[in-house]
Amino acid sequence: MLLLLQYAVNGLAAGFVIGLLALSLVMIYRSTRVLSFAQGVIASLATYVYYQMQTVWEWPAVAALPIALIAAAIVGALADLLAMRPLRKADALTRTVATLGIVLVLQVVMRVGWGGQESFVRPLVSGGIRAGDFNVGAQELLTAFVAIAAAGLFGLWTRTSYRGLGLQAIAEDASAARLLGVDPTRASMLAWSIGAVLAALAGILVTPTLVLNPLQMTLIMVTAFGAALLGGFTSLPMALGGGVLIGVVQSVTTGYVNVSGVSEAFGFVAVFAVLVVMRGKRGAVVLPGRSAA
Amino acid sequence: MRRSGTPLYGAGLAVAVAVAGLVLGAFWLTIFSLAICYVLAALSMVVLTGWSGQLNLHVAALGLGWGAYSMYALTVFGVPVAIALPAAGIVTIPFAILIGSVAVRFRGLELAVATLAIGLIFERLAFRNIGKVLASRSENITTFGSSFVPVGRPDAGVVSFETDRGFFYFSLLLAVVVFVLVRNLARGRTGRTLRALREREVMAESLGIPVLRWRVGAFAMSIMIASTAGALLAALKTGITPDSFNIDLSFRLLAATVIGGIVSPSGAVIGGAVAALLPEVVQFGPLKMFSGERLFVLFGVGMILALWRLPEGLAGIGERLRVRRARRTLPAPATLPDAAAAMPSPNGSASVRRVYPNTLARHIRPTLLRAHGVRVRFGGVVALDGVDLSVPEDEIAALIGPNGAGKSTLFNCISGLIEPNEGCIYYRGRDVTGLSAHERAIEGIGRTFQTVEAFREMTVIENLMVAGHAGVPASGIAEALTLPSSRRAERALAERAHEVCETIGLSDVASRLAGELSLGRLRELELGMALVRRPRLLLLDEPSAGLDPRETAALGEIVRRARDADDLSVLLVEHDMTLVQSLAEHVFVLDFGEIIAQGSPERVRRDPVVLERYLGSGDLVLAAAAGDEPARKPKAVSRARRS
Repeated sequence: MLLLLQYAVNGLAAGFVIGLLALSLVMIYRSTRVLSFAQGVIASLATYVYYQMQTVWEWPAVAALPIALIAAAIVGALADLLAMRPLRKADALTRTVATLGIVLVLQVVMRVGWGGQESFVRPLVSGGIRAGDFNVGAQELLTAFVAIAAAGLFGLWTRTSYRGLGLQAIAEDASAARLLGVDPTRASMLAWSIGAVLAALAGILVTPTLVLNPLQMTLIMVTAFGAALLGGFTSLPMALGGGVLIGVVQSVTTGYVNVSGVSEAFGFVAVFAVLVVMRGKRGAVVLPGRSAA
Repeated sequence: MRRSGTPLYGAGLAVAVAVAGLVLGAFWLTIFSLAICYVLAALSMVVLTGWSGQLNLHVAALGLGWGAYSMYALTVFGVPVAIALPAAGIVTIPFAILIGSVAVRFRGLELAVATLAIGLIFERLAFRNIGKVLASRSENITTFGSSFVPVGRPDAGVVSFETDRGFFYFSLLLAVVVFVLVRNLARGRTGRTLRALREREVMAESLGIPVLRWRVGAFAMSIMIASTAGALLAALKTGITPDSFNIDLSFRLLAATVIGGIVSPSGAVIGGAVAALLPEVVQFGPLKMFSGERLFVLFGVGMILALWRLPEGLAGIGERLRVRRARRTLPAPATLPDAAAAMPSPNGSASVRRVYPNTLARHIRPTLLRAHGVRVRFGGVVALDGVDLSVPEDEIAALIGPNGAGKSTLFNCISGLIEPNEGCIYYRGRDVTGLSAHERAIEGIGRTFQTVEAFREMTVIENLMVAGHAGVPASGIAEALTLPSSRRAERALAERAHEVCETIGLSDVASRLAGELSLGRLRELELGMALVRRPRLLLLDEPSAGLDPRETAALGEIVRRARDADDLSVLLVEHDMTLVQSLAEHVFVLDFGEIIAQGSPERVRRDPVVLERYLGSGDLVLAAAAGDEPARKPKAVSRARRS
């Protein structure tokens, strides 16, 4: 029983990271109807930037972190400018395929810049807390805090601020929003920048527990699709909660099932299961690929 | 995919590659064999994505990997490689159908995510353990790490394909066979059907095409082709690991196919060649900066550029040039003669509306369609409240009523797009309430839609041919092999399409894309599409919407002539009372989900209830203009709120 709980607690940290990536997917999907496959590589790239400053140049984390996040925002904006804007008239499926082009390009950037070798990143904060019989690392606590704060802040922002409501309006009805004066190209760039920053946070926070390589985050991102689906690709808190749920179940399952590959494949099984359940529940398309004209 | 290149180009390319095989060294032979594998993989994506509009994001695992491991499994059980390799594609069929039936429940982006998830499960979990289990059975375990499994190359006893050159010719032969079969399907009924349902599923369904089954079929066919490619790849590399089919390969293949052209088989050839040859080509000259893994930049950027500027890929360039050249050589098309002008005047003596001598005359005719107590609720709103209606054979009946009365809902119930909460639909004396839309279409219920639903990316003739598919038995195998039976069926279909094209007066635009037609002609086309299969019952949903009076009259004339030529009943929803007066022999008035009156047009026009509830609204406007009190205004408001 104690072991089970410890597995669950371990899973929480991974869950919040999945949740953060899910938040970034939802931010982009909500205002552009694009399912971005690039969030994983954007996360990895930002982490490499952070790694360069913090580990190679030995800058303090307080300097490295903001710069890495700004770099991520720029990468996100560039991805929107160079890959999404030319395709703004194409259907959602086409634009989604185009995000794979971003994946291919950014992978090369990482391989050329950092040799594609696996690198290790120091945690932002060290130490941990011992609560009763459980060990909780400080980095894990920070991850949870950041994820919850991000979900809360961006959730509030999209509901109350002018720009946030603009994003929301575009999600509801793009042409009506345009008629009301919301500029969809600017909204799209904003969404991509925010999505990139959220992904970067996920990457920088999780990498100390993993090795950093160009494709690692892409696989976590696929699991994040499941989390985002649990929130119907619209709700930020639900997406985060979905991520935590998947993370915990994954940790417990891999703790007890001993088949090669289960730990890696669990997330994908979860995604598929979520897809099936969501369809059963709604009987409708959660993610329409093309307009049902 | 419109006629991509002539067979001559393809045959020429195959011969050229075959001759090149005589002089190439071992290294280039391997590269060319790899290109052939990738061409097949790209072809599988053309079938799935280009034709049926579905996306498999992990074709490497959910396709190539299956083929490779199926072939390995077959060889472990003692099947010789020469048989196991071509059979790998066939062995996967049941599995492909199974996964396909699950996958087609998802649409668009959901399907993309689902295929990615299933593919990754195979890549990370299934292949690894299958490899382990099977390797323990086989004797020749030469494992570099536990997950590597060795695969042999085919050796047919007399002819050995084990050398690089032999294997190259084996691959070429296999690929040419698959390619020709797929191309035959592309040009025939299969290609047409899939393009139709990619564009408009509901329309395809109402034309009698079983959409779900076709989507599963496309999925299974795509997996089958990819499996063959995977088996070839495994034999080429003489061994596989789960990592041979990783997500990177899927993304790269997808990018290469998009660059080559994901809508045409010739695009697959270019895409496959790009995927295999580009890494070698960039070793030389100024492109050297893109050698090695930097090459993926070209794939990524190329894919985005292709999606932006060349949706039909590099293969589309040739097509564009040809179209441009053809445009230049042809004289500019003269302004099209107006369809309505070509038709005889509706006021002429061409045909006159039939009039029943008395009420009994209608009752004694055999009933074709009967709706009994049909009730439909959408949430709390009752759209149809126990509708009873019957249409005898050989009658043109009209269904009129204010907006929101439930006319379209009733149509959807009759054609099978909506299942009523209560009540039954009888058609030719049979309860068809449980039949799906495409089954009813096959039974002879044709319909048009209020909105224009013709397939805009297909020509007029293709539209009419697709409309004729349903209910005509056809074998995909016969079509792939272009057997005489299939050619005959195709010819008959084309003949019927041209015949209908003549009837509806669209012969002058027969080979134009439907998207280029005016609204009036599109409505005529849709009417024609409903007529191709000689329906017994034709449902027309506001055929005159958006047409000018002349076009409306012409359309009415086509309907009447179609009825006179074939034994057919027509039920039309219409707001244009002139058309109803000139066409309908019997009129039903629907309001608030109930039939409030019926009878001959003249009788209904004088019916006090109808006058008050529907037709009267015109008088209301007049009355209001004359200064009378507008007594019934609140009613209109409440109706607007309800709809």
